[in-house]
Amino acid sequence: MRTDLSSRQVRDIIVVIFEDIIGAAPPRGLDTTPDDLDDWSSLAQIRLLHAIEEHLGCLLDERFLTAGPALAELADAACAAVGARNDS
Amino acid sequence: VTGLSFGPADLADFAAATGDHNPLHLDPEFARISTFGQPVAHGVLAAAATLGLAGADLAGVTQLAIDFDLPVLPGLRYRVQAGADSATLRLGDTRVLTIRWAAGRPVPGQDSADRPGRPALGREPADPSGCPPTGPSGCAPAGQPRVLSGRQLTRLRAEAGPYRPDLPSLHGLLRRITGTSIPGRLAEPLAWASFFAGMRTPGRDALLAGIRMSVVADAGDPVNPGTYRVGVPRFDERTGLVTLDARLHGRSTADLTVSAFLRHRIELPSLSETTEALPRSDRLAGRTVLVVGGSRGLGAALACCLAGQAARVLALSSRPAPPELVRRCRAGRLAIDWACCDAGDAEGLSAVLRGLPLDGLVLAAAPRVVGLPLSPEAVPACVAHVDEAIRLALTPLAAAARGLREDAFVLFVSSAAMTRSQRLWPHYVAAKAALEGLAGHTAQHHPGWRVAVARPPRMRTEMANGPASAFGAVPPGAAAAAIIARLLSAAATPGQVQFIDGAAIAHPTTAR
Repeated sequence: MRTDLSSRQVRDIIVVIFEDIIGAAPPRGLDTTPDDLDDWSSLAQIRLLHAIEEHLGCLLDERFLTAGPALAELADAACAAVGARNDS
Repeated sequence: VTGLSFGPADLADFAAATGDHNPLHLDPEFARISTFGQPVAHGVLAAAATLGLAGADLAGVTQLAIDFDLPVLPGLRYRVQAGADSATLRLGDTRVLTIRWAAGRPVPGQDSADRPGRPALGREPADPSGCPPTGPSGCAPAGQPRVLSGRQLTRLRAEAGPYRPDLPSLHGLLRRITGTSIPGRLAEPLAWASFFAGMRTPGRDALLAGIRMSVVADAGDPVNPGTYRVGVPRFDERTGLVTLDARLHGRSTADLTVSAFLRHRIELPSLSETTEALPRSDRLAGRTVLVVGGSRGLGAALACCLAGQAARVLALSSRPAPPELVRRCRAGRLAIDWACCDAGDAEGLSAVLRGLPLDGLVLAAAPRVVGLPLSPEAVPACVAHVDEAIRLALTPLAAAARGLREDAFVLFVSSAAMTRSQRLWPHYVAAKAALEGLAGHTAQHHPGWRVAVARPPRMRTEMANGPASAFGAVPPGAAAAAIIARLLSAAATPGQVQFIDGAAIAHPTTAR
């Protein structure tokens, strides 16, 4: 597990992974939801979750396997899972 | 932007050239009962054709990354949208697959099948299906795909085998479809990925999700030409995602990472699920109920629930009921007669019913749902779905109407999607709206009948058997018990439809 990361670093990583998986930058940043992007499909959501878990070396809650929550919720869960440092 | 479509002959030719004879692509009967309800094109065929139509200079390309989002359906017109180093295949505006490429000299690297942390390659593992690792030519004749459970997958070891696709035929097929082809050093590893995922691991129940490949040498292995080696598969039990690292020695040498889903096995309805939520009683003693679509999924669970209330149930289905379900019902002393008849077959229904007096009718037969966008290209498929859905309800309703007693009930199975639809379900919701319209008509013109519409939420059935479908899905037995409990307990208003909505079904304890 990556334990040396700050919350900002985790969020930046997630945005990069998101761009790689979805093929576009999240249009509303971390507030982006699947409703904002047609290409954010259910399979893309699973690939996204697997890529984040593999990159950060953590396991995230199964509820993220179904598309729905905003990217920010995924980022918060990832920060908690790796124990990311606060940015302040 | 270039158009692209596939026909059954393309799929057969691709299977012959690559050795990927997975029945999901080739066997209409097998495909009909899959979650897709029809054969789907090989993902690699669609990807290779997309790459060919992208118009890129592929001479120096050594790396490919492919991601699959939706199945490619024969007969639909897709379009290729190409960029400088990527292309997408789309149906309307909806992305079906993405392919990205990069040029460069082959970079020798550590064999991906022997990556650190992976067990060393061993002998061919014991095969639960007895299927040897065959290739399409120069090897054993094409066999049947392996059928693996999740548990069997976790016990697989590394494996090696021969693989020699018929590349001239593959090039000929791509030229026929697209007017062009792709270099052999790209086509061969892609062909292997299709073959291995569809025939070996995960095998028959595979759903290809992604491919990463990199050409690591311009030449193959002179000692073992036409061979592959695969490391121990990684398996995510939550989603069924299988990830394989492999090295292929063909005309060139390529490293691949292939990811594919193992489709879930759908469990039969559990009698304990139904009786826990709706204890057995004799409330329907002496009553006869016809359940159309009664051998699988929610229909089977409804049949069990009704029989659990002492009704005599006639369960109709286009395919024979699973023997295990029949055995369980017999063991549970449930009075269910099973009959094989397509719900859309008016003559067959008349022959089965022969004017049988009925106290209830459940309309649970429905076509499978494949996601379709709201786009001109998808309109024929959407219309065909609505047509089939309403045929599977209207035909048995018409056939049974004469036999329905004055105080009978008629239950239409709709969906919670009526109030919370998904983006790719315009046809599904249109079909359910038509069904509910038919329910309203029936209530209005047969005020003696108790007409109900159930709107169950997503359930663990073959209808919604996707990688993430298990999460938050309701067991069909519990859903059926909640529906029947509501149907039997609520007072009916003559001429009006009783709606049993998703919340009442998803949380049956609060509904009763």
